[in-house]
Amino acid sequence: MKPRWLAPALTILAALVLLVAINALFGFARLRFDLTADRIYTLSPGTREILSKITTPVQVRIYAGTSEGVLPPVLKNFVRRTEELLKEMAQASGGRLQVQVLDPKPDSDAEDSARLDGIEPQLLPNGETLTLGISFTSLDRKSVMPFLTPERERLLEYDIARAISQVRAETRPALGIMSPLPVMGNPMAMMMGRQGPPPWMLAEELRRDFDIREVPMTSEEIPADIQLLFVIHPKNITPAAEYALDQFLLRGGRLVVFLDPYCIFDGGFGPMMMSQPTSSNLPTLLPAWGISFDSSRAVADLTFEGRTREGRAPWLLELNRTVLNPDDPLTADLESLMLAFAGAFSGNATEGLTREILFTSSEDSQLVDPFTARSSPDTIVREFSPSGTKMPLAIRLSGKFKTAFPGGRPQSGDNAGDSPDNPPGESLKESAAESSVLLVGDADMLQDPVSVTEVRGLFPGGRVFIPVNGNLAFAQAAAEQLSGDSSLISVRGRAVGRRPFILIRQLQAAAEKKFQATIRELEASLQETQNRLAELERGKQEGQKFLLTAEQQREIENFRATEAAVKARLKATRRELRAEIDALENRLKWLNIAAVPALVALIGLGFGIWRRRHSRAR
Amino acid sequence: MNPVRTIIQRELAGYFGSPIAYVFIVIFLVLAGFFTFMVGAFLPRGEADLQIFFFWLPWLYLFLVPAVGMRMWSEERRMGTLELLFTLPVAPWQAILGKFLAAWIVIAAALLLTFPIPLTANYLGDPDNGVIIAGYLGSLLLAGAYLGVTSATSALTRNQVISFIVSVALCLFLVLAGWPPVTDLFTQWAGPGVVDVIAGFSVMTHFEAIQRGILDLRDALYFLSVIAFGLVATGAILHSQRSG
Repeated sequence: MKPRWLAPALTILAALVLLVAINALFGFARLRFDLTADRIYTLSPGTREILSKITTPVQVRIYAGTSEGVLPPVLKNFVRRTEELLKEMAQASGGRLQVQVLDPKPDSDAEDSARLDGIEPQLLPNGETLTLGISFTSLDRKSVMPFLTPERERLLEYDIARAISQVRAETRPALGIMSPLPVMGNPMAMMMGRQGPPPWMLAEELRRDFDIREVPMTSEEIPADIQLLFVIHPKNITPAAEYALDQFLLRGGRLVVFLDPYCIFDGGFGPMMMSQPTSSNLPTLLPAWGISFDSSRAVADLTFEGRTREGRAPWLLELNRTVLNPDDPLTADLESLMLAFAGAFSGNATEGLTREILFTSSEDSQLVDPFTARSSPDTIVREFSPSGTKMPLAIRLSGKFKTAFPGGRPQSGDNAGDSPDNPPGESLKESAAESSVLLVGDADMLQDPVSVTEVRGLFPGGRVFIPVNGNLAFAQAAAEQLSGDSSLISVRGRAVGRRPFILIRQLQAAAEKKFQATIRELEASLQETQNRLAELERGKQEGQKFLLTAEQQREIENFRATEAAVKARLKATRRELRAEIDALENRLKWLNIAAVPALVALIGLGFGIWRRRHSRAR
Repeated sequence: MNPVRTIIQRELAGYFGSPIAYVFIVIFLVLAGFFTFMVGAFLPRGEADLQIFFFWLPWLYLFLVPAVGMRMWSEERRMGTLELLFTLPVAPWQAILGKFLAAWIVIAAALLLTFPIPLTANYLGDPDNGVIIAGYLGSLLLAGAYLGVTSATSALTRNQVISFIVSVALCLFLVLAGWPPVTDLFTQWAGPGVVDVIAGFSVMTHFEAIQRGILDLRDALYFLSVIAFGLVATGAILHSQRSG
């Protein structure tokens, strides 16, 4: 006799098997809808462009496996998503991309292949090793992504697109970097036996696409094979060096210059070398182009101000799309930029040159003394007087440039090349073709502390850097755009997108404006009172040593009372400042937690009472 | 009239004619709001996205969905109306589907009533609304999956408490299936293939995928198949009790 539970148990088991089977079956189907506003999970047009340019087939090998044989589920899903992305790309490439997934088990062919490709296993904390990398080969060229991490997944499409375009490229173009800062790391320190600073992430990223060449700040001529030059914080630039840049531009080279009124990360390295932040400018070139840069003042902005550990920082600008030029490919895809102590450009370009503004501050901005801004930001906020204009922080000049050194090469010690002895014969006077110069008002934005954050990946030992804003993307886009190939720009534009509470920031800025006058008054009055008190106290000591006249005592008491009153008012005003925002936040909290439930409860009660009444009235 | 529709209406009348639906909705909304705004510090965080809200939902549902669904069949068995139900011109599968859909509708209503939260995010900033919609869809499917399990457990016993506890335990298993401590347990006596299958059961990987804004056929299929399985199991259990 069959037990009663056998039939249902079998049915359930059968259903379970069916459940697993169906899910497994459809495991190969790749139908999905990307609902995000920025379509971050769909292939971007830039990627499709790169894929369409592939002529010879590219073999892509994904190596994924651990020494134990089982990948943890998180990684397994990540590998699956990576594989799907590559398969989608393979489809978009019309079959010219061939994707393979290999598990480099010990002593397998896959393991040898991985090693040949340059992908090494990483040691995990539990003793196992993990291999997770992709290699791209085409004919005799190879490019490798040796270590994938889920933390960088948002940039996966970009990393792959870049690897593919590297494998396609014939030679990497040369990019010169001219800077007194240790952009490429500091070999001097290593020579002295100390651990110098590592190269900037900027350098690491640029190195992948370009052949980086360091150009000394004292160069009198830029090497002929460099077509693209990054000048980063050229402090104390000599006229000779400016002349070199001038000639470089006129012969067709492209310039990207990052100036800075207050470069806070130029303090040398090590605790012994804390020097004052320096500023940089191009004193000869800029005026010749009709532009001026105030290198003694930084932009403070109350709409975009950021915060540091020490509190508010109006000199730290967290720009969003509203001030990025939406029509220029350099900035169109960027979400955010962060600048620290940036300077502003003014002036319209001279005739023959066009000026394009790439990004600005808000109208709630003011040029301030950087030292004050850093040491007492509250003073800046208090005495803020908005300029009412959006100050250009990055501009591009294009057109046919004329030399800024009409007198030819400057002698050492000369100013602006007006030495009549110099034969003008060898120097170029104007550019034959159109050229471009990109001018940016902040060099700190390129440094690691501002542009990236180190994330502890799943595995120790590997340093994973993730961009936290569009800074690096902007710099790379600049390099690419000016060197000619712009297809990677739109792929990369999907940097980490932060979506802050815009309304609260606006309220904060408005409240500041309303109350700063009052606070300023009160603080002045407080200062006055305190001064008077101090005077009175001093007066007491000079004259009678022991006794105060009744009058003096009364005066002192009066002033003490005033001091207390003013302090109280100050506190009250500061509280009022936050009051509006606090009130808004409280209202929102209550609305969200209690409003609808209360309504539902009321309806329920009402309904219940109605029914009771109806059933009674029978 | 469509028998399924009739059942749904009957059930809904039961839910909304008694305090059940209201209590559930009120508590769900208050807890969701509380966890998002107080525990999750939504406002100080300063980001216009609903990640915090969606983070808490699977855990809220873990307890609240079984609470709604536990009476689905236990009640009928306890009151002895089960046989009555099946004498009506309604096929068993229609009754099962109808009851399930009715409970799902109650849960969906509660979910919709959280509208102030995305409204707040939109008021304060500019969130990615596509991701938010995806999040709501994923939450609805997740709740459906839990409900499928609860439907089966409630058919097992006439005791609602037991149904509740077993349901919570099973749903918890679904949540934790991909978690290393759980998979390690199974690696001991099963091969990696089986472990893979078990990890694939995990609700969280599928939920998390939809959360990111991607509506993948396979994730939707996962949830729908879990629901289908739950309903089939319900049918099998009820059938065995009837013929017994």
